[in-house]
Amino acid sequence: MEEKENKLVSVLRDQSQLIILILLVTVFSITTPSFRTTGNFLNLLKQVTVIGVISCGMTMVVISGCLDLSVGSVFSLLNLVSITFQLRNNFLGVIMPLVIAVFIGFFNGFIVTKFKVNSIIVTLGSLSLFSGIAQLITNGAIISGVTGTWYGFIGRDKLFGIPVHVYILFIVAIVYQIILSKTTFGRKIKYVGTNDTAAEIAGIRTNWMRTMAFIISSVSVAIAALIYSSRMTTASPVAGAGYEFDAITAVVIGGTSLAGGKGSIFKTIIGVLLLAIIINILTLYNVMYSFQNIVKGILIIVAIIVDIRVRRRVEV
Amino acid sequence: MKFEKIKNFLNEQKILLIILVIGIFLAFNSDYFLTFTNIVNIFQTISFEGMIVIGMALLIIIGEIDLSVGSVMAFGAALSIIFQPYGIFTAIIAGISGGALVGLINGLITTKLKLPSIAVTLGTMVFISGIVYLLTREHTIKGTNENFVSISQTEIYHIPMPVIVFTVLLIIFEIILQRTILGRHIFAIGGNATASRFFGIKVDAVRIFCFVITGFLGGVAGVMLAGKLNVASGRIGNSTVVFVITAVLLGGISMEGGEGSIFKAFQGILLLGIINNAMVILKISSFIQEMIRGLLLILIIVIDSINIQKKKYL
Amino acid sequence: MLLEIKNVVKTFPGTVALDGVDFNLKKGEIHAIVGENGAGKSTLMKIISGAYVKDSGTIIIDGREREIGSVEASRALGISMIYQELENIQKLSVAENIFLGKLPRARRSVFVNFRKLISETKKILKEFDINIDPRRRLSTLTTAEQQFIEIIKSVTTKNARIIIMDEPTSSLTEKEVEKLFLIIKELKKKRVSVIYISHRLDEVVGIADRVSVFRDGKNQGVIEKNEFDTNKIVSLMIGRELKSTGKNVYENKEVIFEIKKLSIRNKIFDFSMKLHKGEILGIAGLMGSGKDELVKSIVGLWPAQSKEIYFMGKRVFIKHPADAIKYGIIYLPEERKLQSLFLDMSVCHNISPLWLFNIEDKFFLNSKRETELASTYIKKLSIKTPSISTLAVDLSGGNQQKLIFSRMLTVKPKLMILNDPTRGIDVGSKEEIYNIIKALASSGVSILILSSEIPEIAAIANNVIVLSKGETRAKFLGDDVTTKNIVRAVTRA
Repeated sequence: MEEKENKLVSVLRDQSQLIILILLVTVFSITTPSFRTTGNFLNLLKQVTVIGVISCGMTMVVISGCLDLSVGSVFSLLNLVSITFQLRNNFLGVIMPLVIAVFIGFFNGFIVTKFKVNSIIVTLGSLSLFSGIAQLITNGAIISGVTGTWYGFIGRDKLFGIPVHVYILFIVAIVYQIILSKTTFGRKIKYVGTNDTAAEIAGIRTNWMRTMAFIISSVSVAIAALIYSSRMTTASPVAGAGYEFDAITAVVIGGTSLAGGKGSIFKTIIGVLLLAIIINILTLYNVMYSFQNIVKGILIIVAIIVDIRVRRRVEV
Repeated sequence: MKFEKIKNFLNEQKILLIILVIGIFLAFNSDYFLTFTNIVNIFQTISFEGMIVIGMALLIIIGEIDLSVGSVMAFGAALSIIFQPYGIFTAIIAGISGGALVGLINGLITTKLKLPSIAVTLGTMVFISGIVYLLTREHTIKGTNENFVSISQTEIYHIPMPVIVFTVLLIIFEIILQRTILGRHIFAIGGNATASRFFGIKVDAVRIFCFVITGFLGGVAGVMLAGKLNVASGRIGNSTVVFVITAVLLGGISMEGGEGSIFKAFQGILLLGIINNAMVILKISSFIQEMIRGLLLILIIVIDSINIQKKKYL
Repeated sequence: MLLEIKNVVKTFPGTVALDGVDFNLKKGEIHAIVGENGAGKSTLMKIISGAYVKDSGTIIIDGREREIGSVEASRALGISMIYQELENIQKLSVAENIFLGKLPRARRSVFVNFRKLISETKKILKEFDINIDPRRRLSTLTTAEQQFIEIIKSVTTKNARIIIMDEPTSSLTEKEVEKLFLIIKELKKKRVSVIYISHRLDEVVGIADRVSVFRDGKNQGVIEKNEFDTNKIVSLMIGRELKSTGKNVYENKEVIFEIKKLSIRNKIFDFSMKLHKGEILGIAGLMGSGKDELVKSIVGLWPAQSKEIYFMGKRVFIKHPADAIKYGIIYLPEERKLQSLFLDMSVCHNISPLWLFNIEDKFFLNSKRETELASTYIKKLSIKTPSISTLAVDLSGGNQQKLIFSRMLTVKPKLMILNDPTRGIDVGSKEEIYNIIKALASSGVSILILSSEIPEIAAIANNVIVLSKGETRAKFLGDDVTTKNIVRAVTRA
């Protein structure tokens, strides 16, 4: 009997975020009528899918033991790339962001691993770099008048009542989770994030693994940018500003440890939903946008404090 | 023998040399460069973020980092605008103490909870930027007291206040770092925190001090920045972190910690300031400037890392 | 009598480190402690210096019984310990290192009195006849000089009474050792007592007033200066040979592994060796001998200036451990918690990596095969674990090491390089691991084993190479592999 109880307690603790999520949804569905509307729900989904896909990629990077702060500006850049190429050739509009994303991910990963530099600082630098490039392309202006793209169905249509972009998030999440938990590649990333010295000695090419994680992150950003550009008629060079913190917050409150090695896409999705709902509720209650950052900042700090593994790693 | 000495000296002063070279290049390419106005302009521009570089240098020497400096500067600016109805003096104090308070929070969470400063200050950066947006109601706010601009627009012998304040701070903190017990402890802790604690140095207190100073300097910078035009907005400080970290590294202070000087940090700021000025004179678009800033940070931190790695296999 | 230790006991899970140790120290005495690794010397020193707390027994200093509960408490009693890995600040000057934490103030202010700092440093350096500019950065000094500065740092503490030196000469040249001895004699003149721990008997005999010989957690005997006899000391150190159930005889003279030339800057100079199939070759050497860097460079973990390695007769180029693994050369690092174990992962996941990447080598994981593999090896090596999904961090040291052994065995290695495989492991598990190693050797696996525990190497190795300061100092084959011979070779300065 006692064993069963202990199992229950540990399951509860593991899935605490999911429980909080269910609680929040239940409570606010009852107390706030505007929360329950389809309109609000669809709106929520729009945010969730874009940030969700980016967060899935970020999860890979975090599990490998790094952080990617460039995702926000890379998002802005790839969004522009997609729009710009579409005006010429629809196919390129989809392919080019993906191709460029691979190069960007490789760039980030190469510098971090080859020169053994802190990923936060490197991606801080690439944040500026790609933000500058994005703004250079449009010369600071917002490109408008982009008529419906052929893949606009992703952003606008529904399949069996559910918006197409939600399916995309779903597919991405499932594919990533399978890679993470059911493939050798995913296992290697976990080893690298848990103990990179031991991983190296066990014959894993840790530099390459981390670089792959960065590439996955950038490619995820590309997919998110495609979802985004599929439903927008304007494109801003700073569209993704701040997304990096949304993604990190989502990953961190979802329960993936910043120390690396542990985590799952499922947890991140819960984190994304949690974050989106909190922000949604704040908006519905007419709480200012500024509070979003305040909340995100507190969530990041609280999550780090609670994450014992990060603390174990710090010396004197 | 003498040749060796000259070579060593040149190696030590390589940043100053680079500054000299760029300066000469610019002087030839532009009539405007060597004018008094332009030189003062360069110093005026670097003064604000330059103050913050002082604090960041201390932190990096002691082995920590603070990513929230940009937000703190905006926070100080916003507070100084908001508190103006209570008097200029109050406004100034409000801005500076706000910054110091954030520094204290950063220091306490990092040392008492034993968390990595890079992660903690990532969180406070986001948090404080939110507070700033709240305070400014997402607009650009203007101060009520027009006399406020006197703090930044006053000139002594044609040198603007911010430059004077910056210079004074540079001198004060270089003296603190090199000549006081506290300063020497900063080096000791950055060199070997375990040994320092072993021999009775109050490691936590010194660390917290460095965070508070950085916050304080951020507040001062913010107040003076607000004093330029008597406005503040949430957009202040967006690129500050990149500038400040690049400046410290360019000056020759290694992320490894344990050595450096405010003078070196100053060289880094000056170099960055001249590069910025060069880009303006050469009419390079501000977007390309942002790209170059990002690349510069990446480049300089790679060089620093290579140096650190080389030492490992000696 | 300045310090008296009576019947101190200290146990760790699975081992008795100190089994009722007695020790005493006179004022102004140079007292050496010798003994094998694991004999208890370091443990006792850690207790005296406050790093460990004794389980039982008495410590009497200056006639009063004391409890030394912390490093600060030990310091306050005038005890300083100088570790092999110096705890100093490389980037600061000599003067600032010596006066760390006690910089002279200028007129009760916050400012440092640099003039006084330099002059005081000069004064004390002069007393010890050390000619070093106090303003020099510590990193520009040689290891020896840094060590001297460390000693001086201890002496400048207010009531410095006891200085403990742990293997102070391991990286010193003969001349530097002479200088060290002059410094120690100066300490004696100042009535500071020195506890001198060393493996180098010839040195010890030259400097000490008395020698205590430790073995099996006890002080086996204190020898006065006029009774010094190296042979006597060695026999006290060794006691019985490790209970060995006979060595493997490797008949196969096939050379499977050969290093023709290996050089590592400042660490290894022109090393060469041959290893046969089924042979267990031990490499013995003190810290600073280069043995760690040697084996690390074989598998590509440490850069070598020149490296000519042959495996199975063919030249191999190993740049990364993955290359070595492909050939069947597997390396076991010396610090399992930091370098081998995935502490937050399950026992199963800790056993499987090499197998996953080299034998199974499939895109998708197969948890059934993986758990079967893990279960097999848990049984094979008798690993005590509540379940297959228990986290590695929850296992005892011995079982953790067996995990790593299992990991290595899953890929049927041809050559295993074991770096200190039984470090920090209880006696029972040690025996098990020796048996595993012997069984492997008799099945044809070649073993290269590093250890600083000489009886261990003597019991298990067919042949032994003794390294000192980057060069081969001695080779012992077959019957010549005895603890006595190896200890002799290692302790010769």
